[in-house]
Amino acid sequence: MNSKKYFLIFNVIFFFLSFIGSVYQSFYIYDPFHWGLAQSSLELFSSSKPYKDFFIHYGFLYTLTNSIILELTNQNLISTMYLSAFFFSIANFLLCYIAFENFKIKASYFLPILIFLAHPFANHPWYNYQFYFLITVSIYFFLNEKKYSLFFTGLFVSLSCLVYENFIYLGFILVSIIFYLKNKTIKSYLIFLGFLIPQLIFHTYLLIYNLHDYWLKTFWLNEIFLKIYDLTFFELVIRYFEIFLSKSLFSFFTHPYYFLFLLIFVLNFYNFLNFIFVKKKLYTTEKNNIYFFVLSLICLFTYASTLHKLNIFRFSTGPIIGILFLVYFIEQKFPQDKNYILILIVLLLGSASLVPLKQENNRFFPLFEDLKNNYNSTQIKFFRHQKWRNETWNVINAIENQSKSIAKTCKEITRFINYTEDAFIYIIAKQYLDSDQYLFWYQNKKYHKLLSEHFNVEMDELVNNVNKFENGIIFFNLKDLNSFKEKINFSKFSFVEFTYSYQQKRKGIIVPDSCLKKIL
Amino acid sequence: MPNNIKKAIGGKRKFIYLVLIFIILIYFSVNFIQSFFQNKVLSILNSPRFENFIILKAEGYLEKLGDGELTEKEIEYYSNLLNRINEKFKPVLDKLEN
Repeated sequence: MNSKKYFLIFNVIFFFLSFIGSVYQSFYIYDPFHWGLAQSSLELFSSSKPYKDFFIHYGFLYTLTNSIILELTNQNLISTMYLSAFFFSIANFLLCYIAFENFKIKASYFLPILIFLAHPFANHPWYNYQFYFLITVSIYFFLNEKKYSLFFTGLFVSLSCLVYENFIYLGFILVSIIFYLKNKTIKSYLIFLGFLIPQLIFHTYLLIYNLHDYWLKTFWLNEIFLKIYDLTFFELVIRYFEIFLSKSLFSFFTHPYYFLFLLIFVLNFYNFLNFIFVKKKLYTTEKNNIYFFVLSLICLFTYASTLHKLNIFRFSTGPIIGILFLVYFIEQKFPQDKNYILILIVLLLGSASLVPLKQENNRFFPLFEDLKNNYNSTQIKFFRHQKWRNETWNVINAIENQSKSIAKTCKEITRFINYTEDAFIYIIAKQYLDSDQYLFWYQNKKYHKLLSEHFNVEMDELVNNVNKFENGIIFFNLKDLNSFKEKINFSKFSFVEFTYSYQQKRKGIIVPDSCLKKIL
Repeated sequence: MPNNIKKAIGGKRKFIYLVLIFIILIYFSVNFIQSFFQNKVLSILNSPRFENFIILKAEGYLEKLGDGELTEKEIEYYSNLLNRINEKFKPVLDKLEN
């Protein structure tokens, strides 16, 4: 067997390790904030219009692919997690393959382990994993100079911009730089064609349904994050580097992955500057100089996705691309010591990652108790593969039963409000009742208030309407009861409490008395 | 760096790496064992068995508290304590339904 076969086998092992681990771990995750966003995908194929009638947090393509997988699996929510796990594992596989096949890095054998240890399993059904896959595929096409490679490079960069819409500026700059570097033949223009096609299709769709204004609202959502943090963009960047540096240096042993990403940033920035300003290039061939420059550029651009939060899953679905240059650099500058250095990095990462407890780079490692006692409940189609705690199921099933019973018995009740952070409540109730709420979760906090205001939905007005017309129910946190006593006339309304659970805390539902009498 | 130092380090380079690898392996083992027990402890704290244990223990303490008679000193101490608690929670108690 030759070295390529050995490498492929080794790479495939880590692909399955990451994919199966992510899938297995996801059975036990109760994360209504991230998973609850699947509501956009559940509604996409309905008569409601995206952006106008329901919230799409990130790119349209991300929502669309989730919609397709949900449609194929009869709306089994865990399938969106399987999809993220697949995109993450296959992107890691492809990145390592590129290092071995295209860059001929001898130390490529270390890459599957290093990438795995930096972030072993996909943690959320989030757009980042899909974005990472698409941008890696675009690199693959860029490096393989076949007939239509540049077309596909542009196409996949563009698709990644439809998954992570704020990448559109950087994506266009990237495509223009590649065009400039490759401007030899007429074929180079194909990169723009590839880039334009998906964008044209998407914007034609928005134009047909007159959705541009609503889409722009979502596109400018980043402004809200600056308001939440009460920072200007410049201050955000300064604060980002302060936190990044302190986490990398002061948590070197407990969270060594931050240091790895700092190292990746520094080296890729060095490579970027070296290509532009230094005449003596790092590599022997002009091709490799350009290839590594573009790789570093993509790596640096993707650090933008970590600006508002320094999560390892964000670093591992973009900036990780720069690890190729890190390993190459070590191989070139320390040829005699490269194996020792890489073994040290592997061990250091392993000491923080290969532990049976949740960590920053794997936030959902289950407790042994959960592995032993959690179980499936098939009552609700969305969650039929989840393995949750008994007390969690009690609340979820009670919400389902109450919503169903209210919708069936009280014909005057047509709407609901989810005044909790738990978007699963929204998903369950939406099966039976309508909602004028734009966001799927809401709390009396700055973040939710600003988001709601941004989309011109005044939550207090919705609560007022329910109070006035007695035509709706409100899911709420019992801790907010005091504030609801000021908003709701409790001589006409009552509340029902759900049982307590550690993961959901105490939730309740405010129902008009006229309806409550019928369902009790 | 002076040449003699470079040479000295160069000769022992392999040894230095092995020592570093050994130290990290020790650190890894400690971290692994610590995390394993942390997970175990959290699992116990989250288990229904532990909840049951706490309830039984609380029952036991209440039973013990109900046994025997109070001394003058204890009467003074507990009345003072309960008065303070009563004062603090009076608004809550007033709101309670009969």
